[in-house]
Amino acid sequence: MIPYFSREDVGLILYYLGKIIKGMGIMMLIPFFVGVINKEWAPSVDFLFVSLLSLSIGSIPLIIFQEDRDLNWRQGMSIVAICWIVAMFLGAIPLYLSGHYLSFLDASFEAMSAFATTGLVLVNDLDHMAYAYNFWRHFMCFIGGQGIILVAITLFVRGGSVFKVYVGEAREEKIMPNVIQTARFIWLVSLTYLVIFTVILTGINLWRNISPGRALFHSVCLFMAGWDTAGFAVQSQNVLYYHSPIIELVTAMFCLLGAVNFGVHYAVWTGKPRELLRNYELKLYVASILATFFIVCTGLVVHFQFPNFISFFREGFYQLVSSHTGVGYSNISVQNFSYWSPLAILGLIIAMGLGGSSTSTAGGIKILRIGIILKGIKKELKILTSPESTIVVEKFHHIRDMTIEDNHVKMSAIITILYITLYLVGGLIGVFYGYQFLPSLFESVSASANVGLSMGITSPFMPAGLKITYIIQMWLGRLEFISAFVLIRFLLSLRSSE
Amino acid sequence: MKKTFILLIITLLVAGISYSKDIKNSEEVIPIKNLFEQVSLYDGKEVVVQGEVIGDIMRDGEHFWVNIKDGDAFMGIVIDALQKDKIGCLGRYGIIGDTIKVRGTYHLHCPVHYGERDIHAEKLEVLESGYTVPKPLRIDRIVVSIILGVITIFILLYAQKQSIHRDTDGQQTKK
Repeated sequence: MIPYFSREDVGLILYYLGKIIKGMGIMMLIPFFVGVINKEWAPSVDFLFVSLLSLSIGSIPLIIFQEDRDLNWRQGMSIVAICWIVAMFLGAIPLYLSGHYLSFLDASFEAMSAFATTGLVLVNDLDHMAYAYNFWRHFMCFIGGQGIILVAITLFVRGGSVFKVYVGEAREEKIMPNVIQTARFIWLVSLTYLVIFTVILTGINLWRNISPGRALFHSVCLFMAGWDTAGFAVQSQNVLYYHSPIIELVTAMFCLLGAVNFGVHYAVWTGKPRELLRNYELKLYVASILATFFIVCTGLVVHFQFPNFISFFREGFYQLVSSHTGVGYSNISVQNFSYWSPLAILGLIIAMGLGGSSTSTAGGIKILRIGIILKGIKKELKILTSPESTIVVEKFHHIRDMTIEDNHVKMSAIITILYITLYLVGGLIGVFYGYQFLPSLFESVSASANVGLSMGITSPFMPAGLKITYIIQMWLGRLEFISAFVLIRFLLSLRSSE
Repeated sequence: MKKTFILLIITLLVAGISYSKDIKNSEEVIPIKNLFEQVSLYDGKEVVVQGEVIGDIMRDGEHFWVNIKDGDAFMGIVIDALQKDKIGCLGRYGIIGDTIKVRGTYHLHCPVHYGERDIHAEKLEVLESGYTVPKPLRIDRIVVSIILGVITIFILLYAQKQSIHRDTDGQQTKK
């Protein structure tokens, strides 16, 4: 039986939602200032309008409900799930007003793609977009990658409620004893890398004769979308626009860093670099990158003759890193996939599906879950082959020494099965709309694992049903199902109570 | 002798016409989309493309990169300093860039540029200069923003007042 959500639950959810909408309103003042600095008056007015709209709408539930109490688990989870949908609609308004989207659905798709750090795009004529709108596209990636709730935690949410909403956003581990400290640490790491990589990229862009203002703008945007594994870019050609192996190298570096567990970052930052060698998830991640790269290489070499090793490595490895970290940056045109063999494409699909590390900005199943399932299988095999009285203990090191428990294996297996189901369902829906299975599966995995690489299906002219399918996939994939399922139960219980 | 002379002139004329026709054919602009779809036909061959210059001109050693947009298709063009100077306007927000016509060699995987898909420009001409597109302010949006601004200030002040009221009540209850 589904437990009913009371009026009190609804009030509390709306109260916290109001706080988060107000937060969004404040965030929109940043692109407003970007517009003002660049003398883009029309876009600035749009951002001011949406910012004020968010501030006023967000304030209403705060006046009506006034319920500043702690949340329970189902309230916390429901808030997270609703919050992402509301953020999508609010984030889509300035995009739609920009005139670069054919419909509000397209703008919503792009907003969800940014918040969920997917990187699939439906924008038209990006190369003539105002800096303010373009900054907002990338800033949404940054907010979404850090976690909308994480942003809100550092701004508004206090008390015992924070852990419930923090977990709801697909982060199970507290890096530090306190969630607020953890949120601040995640911000510290992200902002430090933001400064470092912005300086490096701006230097490269200036050296390449790009004007200082544009060099800085490109660098900040590239970092925000790359670190948070979204894969948006300032120009339509994505990273290919720069025609620069150095920029590809730097972007690959921060993509890989962004897909590493924040706990590992913390260990290294606090003087424990040995964690890099000991961490089970990291070791498995490196092994997985090498294994999937081997598949991609085999697929590329067998099917196509590259003129030299560098061309082959640059095309194959960058796409692989982009897939496995869930970034979705691309240094090739979509049409290049026409000479990629099915095996090479399968290699990318596997890499996208597996995803990055847990408690990182990456999406997908996550390597730690695969590791736990593998350890679980090993443990079961040991139990079967040992005398009955033997107590089998399977250990691994992830930030600290951990023991495999049945509950870990069960939860990892459930989430993995849910992801695989989502990948297949999306692929089949694509086939239903008349696309071939492999590109359709590619696009589905890319949306669900929040990657953003495309074989050409995602375009403003694809069927509306498929756009909605991908929006749902991006949302479910980013929240790792649980919060979304709690929200669905909540909605069902409202219907039952009627 | 006279007949031979006339025949020679006719032959030369025919040859000349067909030669000029060949030049005209080689100057025929190929949509960039075709370069992606019929790679084997054009890879390593001389092609003529045209499109709007967008974004930036980026230095790469002694050469420069520009990107041109032809419909929904884009191509990176490698140009030299002299060709770079011909480009006056780059496509950005509120600006339509120069439309250029480029004759050069197309590579699917350029051996010089680490496997880039590019065209090495041999000849570049500006077909149409770029221009500014005015982006007028929408009065309706300004009016709505002002109204919303007033409403927001009112709501925020009301919420603040209520919050102070609630805090005072709470303190009195505690006493």
